[in-house]
Amino acid sequence: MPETPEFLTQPSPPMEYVGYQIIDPLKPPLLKFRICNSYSIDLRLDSIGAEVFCSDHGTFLGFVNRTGVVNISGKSSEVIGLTLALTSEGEVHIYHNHLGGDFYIDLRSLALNVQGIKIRYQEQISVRVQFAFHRHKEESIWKLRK
Amino acid sequence: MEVKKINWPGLAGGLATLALVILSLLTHASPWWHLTVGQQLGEANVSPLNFNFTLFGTSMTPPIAWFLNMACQLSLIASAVAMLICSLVPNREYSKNLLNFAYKKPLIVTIIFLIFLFIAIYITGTLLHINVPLTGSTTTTLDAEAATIDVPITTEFTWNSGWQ
Repeated sequence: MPETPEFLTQPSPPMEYVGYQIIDPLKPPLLKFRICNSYSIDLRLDSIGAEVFCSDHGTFLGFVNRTGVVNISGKSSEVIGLTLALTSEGEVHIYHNHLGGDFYIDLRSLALNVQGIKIRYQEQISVRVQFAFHRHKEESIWKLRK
Repeated sequence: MEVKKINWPGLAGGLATLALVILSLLTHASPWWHLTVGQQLGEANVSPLNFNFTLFGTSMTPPIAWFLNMACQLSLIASAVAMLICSLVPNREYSKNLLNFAYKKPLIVTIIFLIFLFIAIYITGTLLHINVPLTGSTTTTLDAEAATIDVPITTEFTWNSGWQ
């Protein structure tokens, strides 16, 4: 692919991982990212999503996504929360390998839709999270495993 | 000046040309060709009399576009004035020369506009590697450092929009 002039490739907004937030112990944590809008106009983030893998084992864990529109004012930043949806295999993997402690996950194929423009990040983003499944959830996973 | 001898179609043409220039200067009348990037992230409004291009809130006008617009505006003003004079006094010896000068100008301006449009699209594709259709929609893929960006681009001649 030919090289593209720099001013045309600026639309990829910088994303910075802020941290995770456990809202409900029964559910995976909310991943928080800060997205910067360096332009003078307001931008509308229509969707964002990525595949999630375990950094240590490379196991596919599920997806993160954000439904609903986020408006980012010009020359400002906005912290958005991404919901993590685990697959059954992902839950079992976390239960057996990472429950209760911090570990790293990789976000791959990260894609943003900003007012019709689709931005696909080529590099993966590694973030530290912690899963604190409630005892009942652990039991349900245990049953699933059996 | 004899009313009977007035060239009424020429007078109407002169007034219409003058009105076109005045309206375009005062109100930035609707463009002849329109380009949209994404969903209102960028747009270009192009006509022989006006040019404006904004991308991410930043307005960009190449100097050549400004000079071409100015040349077209002056040509049309001269054409309108010449057409009005030769229509009001068609029997004067200079009237035929004025008519010869005036009637071609709107056509020449239209041709210059189309040539400019073709050249602009060609340069955008060749130098910037962005394929812009003359009319229709396309998605251009840009290769950034750490991301691939799909940019939808829609263009249309504005006289189409009224018929859709």
